[in-house]
Amino acid sequence: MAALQETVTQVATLDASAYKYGFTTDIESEKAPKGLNEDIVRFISAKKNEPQWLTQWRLAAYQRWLTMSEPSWARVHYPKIDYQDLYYYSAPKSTPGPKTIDEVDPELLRTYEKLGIPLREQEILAGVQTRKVAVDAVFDSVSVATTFKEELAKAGVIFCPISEAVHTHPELVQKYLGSVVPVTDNYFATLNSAVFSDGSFVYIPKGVRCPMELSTYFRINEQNTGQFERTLIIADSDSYVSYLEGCTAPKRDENQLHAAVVELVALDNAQIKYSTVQNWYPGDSDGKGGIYNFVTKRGDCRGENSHISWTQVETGSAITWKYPSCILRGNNSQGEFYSIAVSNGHQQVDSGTKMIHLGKNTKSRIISKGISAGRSQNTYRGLVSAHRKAAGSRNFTQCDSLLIGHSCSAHTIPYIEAKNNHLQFEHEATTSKISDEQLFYAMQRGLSAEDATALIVNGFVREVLQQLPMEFAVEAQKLISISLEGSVG
Amino acid sequence: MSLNTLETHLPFSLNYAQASAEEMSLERQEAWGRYKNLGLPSHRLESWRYTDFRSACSNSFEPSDTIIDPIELVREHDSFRLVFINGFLRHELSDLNLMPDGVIIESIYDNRNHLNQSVSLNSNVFSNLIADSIVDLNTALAVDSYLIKIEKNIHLTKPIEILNVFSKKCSVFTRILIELSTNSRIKVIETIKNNSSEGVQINHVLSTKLARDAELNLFSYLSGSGLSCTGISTLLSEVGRGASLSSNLLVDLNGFFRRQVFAKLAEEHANIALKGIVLAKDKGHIDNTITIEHCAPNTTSNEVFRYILNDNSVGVFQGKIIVRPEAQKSDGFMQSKAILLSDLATMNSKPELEIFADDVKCSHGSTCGEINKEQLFYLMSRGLNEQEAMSLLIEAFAFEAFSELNDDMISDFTKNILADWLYAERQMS
Amino acid sequence: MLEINDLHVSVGDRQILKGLNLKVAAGEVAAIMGPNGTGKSTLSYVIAGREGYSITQGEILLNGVNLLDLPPHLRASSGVFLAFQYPVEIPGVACMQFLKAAMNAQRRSRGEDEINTPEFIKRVREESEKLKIHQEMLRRPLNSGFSGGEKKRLEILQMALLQPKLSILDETDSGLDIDALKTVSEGVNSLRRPDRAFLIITHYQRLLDYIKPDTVHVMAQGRIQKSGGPELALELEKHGYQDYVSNEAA
Repeated sequence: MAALQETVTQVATLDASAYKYGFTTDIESEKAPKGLNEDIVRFISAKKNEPQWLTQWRLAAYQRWLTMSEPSWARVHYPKIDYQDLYYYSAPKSTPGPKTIDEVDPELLRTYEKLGIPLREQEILAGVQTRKVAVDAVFDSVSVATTFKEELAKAGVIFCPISEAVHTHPELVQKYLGSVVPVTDNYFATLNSAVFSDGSFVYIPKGVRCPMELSTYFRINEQNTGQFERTLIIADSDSYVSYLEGCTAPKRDENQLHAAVVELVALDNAQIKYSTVQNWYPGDSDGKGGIYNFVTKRGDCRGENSHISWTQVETGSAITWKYPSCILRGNNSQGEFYSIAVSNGHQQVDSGTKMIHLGKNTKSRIISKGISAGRSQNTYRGLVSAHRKAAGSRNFTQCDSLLIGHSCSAHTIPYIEAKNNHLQFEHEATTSKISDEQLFYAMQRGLSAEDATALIVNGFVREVLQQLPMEFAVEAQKLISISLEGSVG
Repeated sequence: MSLNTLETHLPFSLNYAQASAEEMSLERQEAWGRYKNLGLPSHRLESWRYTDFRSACSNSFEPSDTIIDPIELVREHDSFRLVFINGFLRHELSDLNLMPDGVIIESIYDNRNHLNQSVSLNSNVFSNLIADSIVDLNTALAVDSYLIKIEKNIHLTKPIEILNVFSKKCSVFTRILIELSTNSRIKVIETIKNNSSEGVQINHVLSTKLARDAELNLFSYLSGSGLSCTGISTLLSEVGRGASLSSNLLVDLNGFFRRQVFAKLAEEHANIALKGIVLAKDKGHIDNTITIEHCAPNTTSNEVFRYILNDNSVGVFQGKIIVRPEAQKSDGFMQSKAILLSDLATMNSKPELEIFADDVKCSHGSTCGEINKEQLFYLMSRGLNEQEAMSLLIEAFAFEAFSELNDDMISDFTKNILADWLYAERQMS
Repeated sequence: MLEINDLHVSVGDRQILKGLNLKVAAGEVAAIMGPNGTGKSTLSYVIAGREGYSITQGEILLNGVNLLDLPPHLRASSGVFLAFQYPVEIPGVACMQFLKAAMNAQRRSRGEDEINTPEFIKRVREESEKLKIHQEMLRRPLNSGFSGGEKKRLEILQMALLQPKLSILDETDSGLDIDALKTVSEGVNSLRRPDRAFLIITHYQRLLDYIKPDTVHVMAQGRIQKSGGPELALELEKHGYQDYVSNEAA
């Protein structure tokens, strides 16, 4: 197919300029000295004025981390990371915890404006956006602003930086932190436990339907800085929350490490919808630079009838290593995973989910759409398992890959483990390319090769896009087109 | 066959082959070296995560010897038969002298147990697919092994049957090479029958090479009630231009068994179809691990497996389709389905795709669970009782794997085995 | 022949049948009509003995025997046949194999001899010709890849071969074009006999133009709301189910 060939050759000329969030913010920052040791862990803890138990928790994690080795099972390749050559703490100097939005450094506000994230509530109220969204903005290692705090507080919802929650709601933090992703879970999660800087904390009380979407916006700015945020969301009985996470970073020639941990806890009848639009800097056309996105995300359906759904649109990062998972512990609980993973250039993606059925009559659903273009590698890795006692469990998995061009690859590695006979697991996977007939049909009706490809790709991912809150779905759709620029249009 | 005890057995096994360790041929030495380096596979290896062979082999048996036991064999198929008892070819029970023209059968080792110069074991072709030491171990220790060579344009309608019977406690390493010349066509029935009441350890390698337009129809039947059977049967296959390998596997075996396939679609228009039915009960552990590599354009592979698991049995299906960048316009399909008849049965599946070419069509499907209640009710509403309805459904479910089988003899044979198995299970419950 | 007394059925927490009473005499063709979601299909499944329904009260008698005590296959051999609204696909089981298995199973449980193969093939051929079913179709797996019309004709073929006492036709007209509807109806009509009863479940008058009912029952909200002769069906066609639904609500 000539048209496709033509677009494929454009990959070679693809410039990093396609990444539109690649600017840097010129702002003075305060950093911990480079490298990692007990003192750095204590330094971070002290900076946040943390209680004794948390300092000890971090130190225990650090000791544990020293005994662990980096996982090598994923289909990703990168030079060895020198963990002593990184900064583990970086904060914009001007903001020692701003009280109101007006105290936030204007340079920072401008940064978020450029990113399309309004932090001034009145701007949002003025009707620029159709729906109210509360935002927690995390810049390098600290949260710089959280919007709509008061309005949320009226409903009883707690939405604040986790560093603040440690002081204002220590009982909740201490009870739930590390209860879904234990300190010992894996190399990157353990590292995060030792050095996590900030992140969002959400608590939805019993019976409350969170009155607006909550969202955290992560931005890595500093050079050679690792970002280790930690998010903890607790939905108490009969509550509901929808949460969105977005991420960008400037263009830098060095790789930057992002090792976050997200923990979700859903109690009886609670529902958490967690959506991610991940657009970290993917590196340039030679594969230089970009974020290493090594993230541990896990939800615990702890209560009966609880429901956690993960939706992710992954377009950025040089390397993605990420498996948002659900532990279906409560009887009748439900887990969902909807994913679009787009890789282009030299990107490497190894992503998927784990659905662990422990309770009776638990249900899970996995829809994964991988698109690889350029010279990228895109792997779906997923586990569906049912415990002996998880009678009546159901899973449906649909896992499709689309290849664009001759130099990319797509892999599917599902693990399906059934340990009782009162269950029904179904798994389907396909790998295909955009067919010449489809392209021709659309082009015969007047679309350019690029538009036709975009149209077909959009059709391919539609099922997942539908899971996103509407405004973000539109955004995600644009993002996918931009990510595939040079390979398809 | 544990690491230590095997080493102590090594001189023993060479002993009966009238050779000494110093005289071990070069390829055996190398294979033994690789094996010693890797050890027996354990579940820490990704391709063995559901089958811990190392712990299954904690007791080791002595290698088999040539002492002849009296044995009675019923002829189950109309075939040219090669009979191996406890790993040794029994000429008086075999049809070596009746083989038709164009079929050459020769020992691959000379009397010093060195590989004949004219023979290539061909296993290096698969080395990038095999991450464990099982084949190496076989290369190092196999003794009474044969090459079956089919000459150009020979079409045989009557199958060649390779019957392996195990009658006593022993550890056996066997190797068969089958080479099909251009445009030759044969059927092979491979039977492994464990009659040993004390247990047997089997490491069997069947290596096949199909030249241009050749066609090999393989039916493998693994059976036996001996509880302590621990076995691995490896099928290696290199398929040439326009050639076609079709393998139908029926497992009705108690014990611990892994069938592994490493196959290369080496040239254009090569085709592989692997089908399998697994019947497992008690503490049976049956593993099918398959790696198919598409190395040339327009190649096709098709895998369909069905598992019926009762009692505490464990079924494992690991399939991997690799499509190399040059293998454009390839077609790969893989399907595994399991019915669990008991609350204590386990099914583990891992159907993998590894795709490096864009113009391909690959898909896989996998299901596991209980019998479909809608279908059961439909049949019962027409008057079948629950047992009859279950049997009908299970038979149909299992036989789907062989739905494209175009051989009445194998088809009837399989249906009988299925019916007998289901009948026996019904009596037990 | 069929007598249903005070039948209460629920699924989970939801009560679907709320004290249903119905009598169908031998030789009678009874139609049950009613809007969607009133429990018509539930009734047919409960008579046939499908799992998943809890019967909290009442009885279903076929010639004096309480069907609720019997597993589905014994209900079948005692003469109950359900033509499914959505016939189940069973890959791998050929139609002929299935038909023979069903006929013989019923014969066995009634203490009769099994049918021999030539006789069986002859009967299948006769009946399938009447229903315009091709022999080729009968070699395919049961209902797999059949069109809606083919599935329904196969249901009627089974009915003809199994010769039930009570045949329940659940929305047999749905998904049928007019020619198929005629064929199916002729099939049913040819099976009418003084010792057989039919229960025809539908929400359109259309099917009843071809299969003339003796009695018509209006079902709404889990009960029979009104019973009458064929004229009742025509009245429903004109006025809809509005009256019955609102009566109940009031």
